[in-house]
Amino acid sequence: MTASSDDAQIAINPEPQAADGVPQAPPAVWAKGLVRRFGKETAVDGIDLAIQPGEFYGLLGQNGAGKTTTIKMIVGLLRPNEGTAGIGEFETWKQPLEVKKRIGVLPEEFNLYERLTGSELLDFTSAMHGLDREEAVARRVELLELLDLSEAAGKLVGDYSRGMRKKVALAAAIIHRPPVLFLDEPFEGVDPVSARLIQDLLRRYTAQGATIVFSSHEMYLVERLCTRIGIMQRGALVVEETPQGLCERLGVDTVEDAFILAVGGGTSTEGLAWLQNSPG
Amino acid sequence: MVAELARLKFLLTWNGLKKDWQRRIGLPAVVTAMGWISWKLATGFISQHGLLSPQQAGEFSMWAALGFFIGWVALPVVIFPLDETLDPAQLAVFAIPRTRLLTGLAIASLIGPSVVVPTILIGSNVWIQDGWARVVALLAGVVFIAQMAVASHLFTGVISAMLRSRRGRDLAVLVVVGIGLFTFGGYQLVGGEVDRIGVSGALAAHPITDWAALLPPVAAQRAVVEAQAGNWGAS
Repeated sequence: MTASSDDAQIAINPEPQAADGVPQAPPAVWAKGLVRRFGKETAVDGIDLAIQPGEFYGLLGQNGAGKTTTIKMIVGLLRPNEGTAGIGEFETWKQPLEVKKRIGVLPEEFNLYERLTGSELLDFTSAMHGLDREEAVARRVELLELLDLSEAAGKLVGDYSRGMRKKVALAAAIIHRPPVLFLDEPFEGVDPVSARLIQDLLRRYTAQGATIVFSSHEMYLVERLCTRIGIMQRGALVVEETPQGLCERLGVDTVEDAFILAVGGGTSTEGLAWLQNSPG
Repeated sequence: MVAELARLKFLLTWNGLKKDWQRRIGLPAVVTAMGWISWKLATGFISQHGLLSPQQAGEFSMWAALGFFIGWVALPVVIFPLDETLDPAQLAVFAIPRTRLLTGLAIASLIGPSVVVPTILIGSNVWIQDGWARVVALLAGVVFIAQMAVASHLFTGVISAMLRSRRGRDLAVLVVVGIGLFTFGGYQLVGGEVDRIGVSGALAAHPITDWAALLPPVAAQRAVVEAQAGNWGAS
């Protein structure tokens, strides 16, 4: 497959239009002209986003496309060079406390307190979000049970496996029931049983009106979960569409094929003759 | 939230002791070493202070305050594996008002083995004052600790951010080497000058008030010096 993104003739969907005379509520997550440079390199180049409440939005792209940088700028972990972003009516860099009250974040490189136990980490997170103790304990017990971490609840997070750390970080991101959730590679290293449980949990969460922005390289999960996807390439958003709509438009069966078409992937491996002979 | 940050620091320190045998050995050893060094510095400070004229003693204490401040800020690099310093970056996803965050971090920084150092050194500064200047020294000590906590967290935050990238790690090595060179160079410079013209001469030749009177740690000690001299409200 060697088609380029230009061949695919894909356009970004326009922002939702307001109904006649009725002022439209601001999107749950938005960004306008976000730009971030690292030295001479432009990691994110003028991103515009408008994600509506209840959407399960997949932000996709190859490594280095700018997904994580975009998420970091929206949630207030990285200041943009240009542009602005926000959650609902609040602008991230003007009203950071209001924004942070309304979001849960599972960063790609989560920096957990390794000398806290799983239970202590969740209790601390709940307290920082202002949950009362009784409610915090009830939610902690339920989340640990659901994520199959009850037995490891008293162990230090530093002794957890990568998948367990991911799960406890996810629990910390959702324990205060934020209306908007940002998940950067939430299923990386997570076992299939837990992954299925997390998928069900997240689907139920959006069904109740929460908005999820999700970044992943697992295309089957994107296909299964996302109501809309945005594909980034070299810092720009090149596609925004529903998974089904994108597949139909590109005449492919899977989101993975659509993604590869959209980013112009599929470099030939014919040159690697040495790898095609029998090993040894 | 302030209480939660203090509790977090306590839990990190306690869990480290409870579940890590290296810390069970390392922490008491570090506390003893730091306590001994602080005691030596404090008694040296008190005896030298007593040998100087009031004006020179004031200059001396402000130089000492600046040296202590710089040493404290660099301390996490030296005892990083043994003392948990709360990295503000780990708290960035929470909606914490800045004043509460700073208060919480300042209080949290006092929970741990390193608290023995400011307790002894600030205690020695309170000890050498008379009358109401002692109260001023105590209050200035609280302000001084808050300044150290903020600067220390800023420094830790920068180092921690640097350690996340390869270039940053290379740069962090240079920072640590730079701290070592700065300490060695500073020690040689001060030692050489004191050998040449004595403590009194060095203080007279290099008055700190000429160039650093408004630096926060120096200003805090200057308030104590002025109070001791009876110049209330001069700083």
